[in-house]
Amino acid sequence: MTFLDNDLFLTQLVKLFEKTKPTSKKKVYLTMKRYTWESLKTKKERKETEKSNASDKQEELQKEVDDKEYSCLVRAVYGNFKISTLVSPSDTDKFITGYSNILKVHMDSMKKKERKKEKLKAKKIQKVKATIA
Amino acid sequence: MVYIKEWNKYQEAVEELYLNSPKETRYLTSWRHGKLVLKVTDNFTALKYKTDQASDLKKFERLNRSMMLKMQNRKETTTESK
Repeated sequence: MTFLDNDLFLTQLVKLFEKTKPTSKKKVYLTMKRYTWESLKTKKERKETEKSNASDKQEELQKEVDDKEYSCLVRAVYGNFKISTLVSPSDTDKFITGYSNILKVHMDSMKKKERKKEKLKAKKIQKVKATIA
Repeated sequence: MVYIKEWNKYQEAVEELYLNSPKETRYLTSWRHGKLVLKVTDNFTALKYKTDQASDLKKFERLNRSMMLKMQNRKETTTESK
């Protein structure tokens, strides 16, 4: 699967949300993960160096602070429609504002101000606990 | 599968999980008409949170931002109030 540009990903994400129907059983899946792609060579080398180090040295290695910056992999799936993109550290702010806006606009079918009911429920639970204790 | 009921506790647990294994931890979101489910897993433990409250959206967005910054290993700046 090829990666889209951040902007293209965002426009495709809007299209994806427009496809969702209230009656459908499908979900929109969004995944975020650190992107640490290693070729087979570098993986082998890393494993070999880990084996050859004694356990004392391994502790030292683990304490090393990782100062590298990574890209972030973001995926969106709805049914057959799959899109993914890489967000590099320099594009983060721009991407996040666009991404948050899209989510805000489309996740509008959530319930509002149900706090009273939740408070009543919490009170009931407390009463029951008090009677048991 | 552990569902955590309070947002603050969920946030703390998620950040701890991420600090313990930054390479393996991934953050999933699933949304289906009005219900939002979050899952953070490092292939050993999974922490989930579900909601249908619009008031949780803002918190969700803040968490999104902080998760992405962590994954990129960037430090959060304090000027985020927009």
